[in-house]
Amino acid sequence: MSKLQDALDQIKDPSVADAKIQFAQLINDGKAASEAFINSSAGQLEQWTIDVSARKMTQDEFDNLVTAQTILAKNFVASQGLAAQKRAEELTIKTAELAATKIVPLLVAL
Amino acid sequence: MLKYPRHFLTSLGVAICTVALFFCSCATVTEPSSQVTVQQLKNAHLAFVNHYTCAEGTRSTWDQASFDKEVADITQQFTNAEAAVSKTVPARKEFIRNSANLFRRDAALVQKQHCLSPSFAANKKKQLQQNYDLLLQQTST
Repeated sequence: MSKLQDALDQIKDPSVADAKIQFAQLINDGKAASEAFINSSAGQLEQWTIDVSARKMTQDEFDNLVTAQTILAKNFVASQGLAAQKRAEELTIKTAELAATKIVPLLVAL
Repeated sequence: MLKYPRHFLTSLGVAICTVALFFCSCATVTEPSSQVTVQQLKNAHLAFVNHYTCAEGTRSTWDQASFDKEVADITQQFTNAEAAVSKTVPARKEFIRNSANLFRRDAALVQKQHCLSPSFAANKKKQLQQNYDLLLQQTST
């Protein structure tokens, strides 16, 4: 089992069960993407989530990284063709938002 | 009719070459200097993160005046860099403004915690490398 799945499995709250599955899927899709930025973003977001769950980072630090990555991702999304923008936004900005709002607050509260 | 057409054409050719060489030299002077500026911003930002990383998670002493001066100095570097970029390259100006915004957020985090965890620092440096390298690629094209 992956370290990310181990981290997600620590969250027992059934109200975020769907969010956990969606987050893991988006990370996998991002890591499989051919675009270097999306690929790297997904890998970094996975690592940050693992580090927060291992108490190696504070939530403020996680939020700082996510906010910064969102600023960078907006530049990247804007540089994509119209057809590719929705997918790029989903795999970078939306995934980061999902982690910051649904996943990490619960990991920190454990 | 010109009395010496061949001389005129030769002089014109030399003049065109001189102007062309002048513009080429401008390009080679401006681009590397722009790259040096971005590299300096990158080094300053990374050094700031290193400076406030604490292996133990806490800092024994906190010097607010020193922190304020360091933040002001680096902020000034960003302001100067943005001012130096021509209005004809708005994307580069925007990129420097975004990088300054990232630095401000990092400074605010240090102000709040007085200390950055080694894990955050490693992740942040990776993120900054990616950001500045993209900007460096833009300035080299």
